[in-house]
Amino acid sequence: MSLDQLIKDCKQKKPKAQETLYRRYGSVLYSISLKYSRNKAEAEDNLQDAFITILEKVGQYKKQGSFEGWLKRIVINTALQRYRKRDVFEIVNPGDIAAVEIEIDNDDVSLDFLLQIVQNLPDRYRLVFNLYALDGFSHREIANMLSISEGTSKSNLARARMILKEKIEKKININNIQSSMS
Amino acid sequence: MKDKKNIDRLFQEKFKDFEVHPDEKVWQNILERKEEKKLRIIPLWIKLSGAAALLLLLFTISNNLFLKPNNNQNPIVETTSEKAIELNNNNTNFEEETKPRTASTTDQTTPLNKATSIKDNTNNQNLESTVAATPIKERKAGSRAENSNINQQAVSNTNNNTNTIAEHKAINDKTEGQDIAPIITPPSETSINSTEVSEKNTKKEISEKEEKPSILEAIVENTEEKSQLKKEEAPKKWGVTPMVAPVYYNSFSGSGIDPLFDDNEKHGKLNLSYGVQISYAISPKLTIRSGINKVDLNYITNDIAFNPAINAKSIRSINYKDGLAGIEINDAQAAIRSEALLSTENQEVNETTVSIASVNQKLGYLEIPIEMQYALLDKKLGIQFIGGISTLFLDANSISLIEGDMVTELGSSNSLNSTSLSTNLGFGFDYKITKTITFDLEPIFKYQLNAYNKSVQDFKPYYLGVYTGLRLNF
Repeated sequence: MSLDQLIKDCKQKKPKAQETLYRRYGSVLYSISLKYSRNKAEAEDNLQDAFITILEKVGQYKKQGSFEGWLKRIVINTALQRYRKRDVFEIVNPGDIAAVEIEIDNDDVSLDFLLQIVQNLPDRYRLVFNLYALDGFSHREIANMLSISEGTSKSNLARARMILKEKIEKKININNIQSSMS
Repeated sequence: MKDKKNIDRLFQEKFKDFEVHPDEKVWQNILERKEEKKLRIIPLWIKLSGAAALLLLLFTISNNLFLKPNNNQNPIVETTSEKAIELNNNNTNFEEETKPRTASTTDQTTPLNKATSIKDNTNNQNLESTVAATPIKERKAGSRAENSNINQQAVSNTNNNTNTIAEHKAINDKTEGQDIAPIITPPSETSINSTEVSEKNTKKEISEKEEKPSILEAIVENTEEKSQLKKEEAPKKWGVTPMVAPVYYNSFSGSGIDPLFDDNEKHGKLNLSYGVQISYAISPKLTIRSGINKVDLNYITNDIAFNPAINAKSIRSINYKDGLAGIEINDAQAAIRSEALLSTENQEVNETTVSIASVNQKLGYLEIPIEMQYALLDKKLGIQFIGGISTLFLDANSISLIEGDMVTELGSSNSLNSTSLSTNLGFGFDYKITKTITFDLEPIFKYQLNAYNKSVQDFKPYYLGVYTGLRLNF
């Protein structure tokens, strides 16, 4: 089924087309949910919420930009609605607002570990890190989406990077200790 | 030598081809929610319309069963009223009869004349048949029925016709001496002997005139008696009751804070509800009532572990006050297990401290109940069965952490619906202190239907109150 036909049938709320849409894009959207959520269960909830919204709003899709991009945006927005109200006890250290580098080989940490530490971030930090580092939004766009200032967005990102760096370094150290003992 | 890599870049590369298939249950849940969404609006309206239909049905039944005229009640009043009407009618008959009788005493052909006048009375076309069809035995006035003749019947059937008398005279004048064929056949038992009838009528006229004052007096007496009886037996249908109740809040299952605490020990606390109730007795047994109450509820969840942390995980259903999301709360048992696991894995001292506390969830509602009350026993001591629904408007909502004497308000719950319903069932016991004042005691169980949204959908709260008050009846 072509994309245009699929979209047209979804607008007419045909159940078969709706299922096809899910089968075609479900994995991509779920992967985004996993990065934005705190754990697998919440990621599943987020995907369900987002997909219900997609099925309701597919009639509003006007072929401006890619359809996949439109779907992803809905998933991200759903996650933002869930988590953005969380206030975070925040220590803002101006010195932290800088690019963070880490000494690492690609094999030092697994994808699962990186996903886990992203999910373990406080909600706001996780949202900002995903939006900026993984999905390419600017601080201005993030500020609008989360109803925060650009400065807050930058400091949240800095804190997120610091926490991730600490956890990765800790993990690398543990791995090194374990490998030297074996 | 390890590469120095920008941390963003590290994540971008690792997540570049990241794709995970969701479990099949996710799609099944989506399908279920699609169906739920279609039906979501309907159940609430079904409940409301069901309650309204039940009230209407009860009202209709009570109207049919309890508000029909009861022949056993007020026999004196009804009997006397019948008698009064009868006497009244007959009194009118006397008045009507005297005039034509006076006119006819000198007329030998009185009956025929009167029959003619009936015929000529254009306002009573049906009189012929009416008279013919009205047997004497239907008359309620005993002695008069025995002595009635066509004259009496004709006149009694023209009670409302003011032309009759004048026409009588005119026609009598015209038809005097003429033979007029009778238009109607008189009943056999009233074969007319004109002189006998006129004599009888004359005698009767005198005796009936003498009875008039006493009949009038009887009518007046009966009317007074009727109004007196009505005053004495007029039920006090309205009631106003200021009420106060200790209420106990709890749930059949789940946690109102987070599914994480489903298995934690919880206990409700005793609180107070106060308000005013207004009732209206639709029938002696059935009363409808409403009012407004302020209800404060709270319950405690035990075995909560808490620790301050910079990157604390927050509970989804709590809107934290400023700065307090840094206090992480968790199920104590789960926290202890996780600590043990971490210290084994990392082989380092865990610097965080896990303290055990309780979480207190407090809520307040403005409650507007609509209930029906059915009297099982209605004497000095009364017993009623009570059922209905309440609409609850949330007006207080807080979640606090309690450790010993220290209470920290974390924030409020975002999983509470601002408007919800409860179904109410209970019994009422009342004691009539005087005719206007009654003491009420009503234990009522109220099960909340949609107090919480889906994030804590396993939580099934209820509250039990013992409502007491003094009712003013009027």
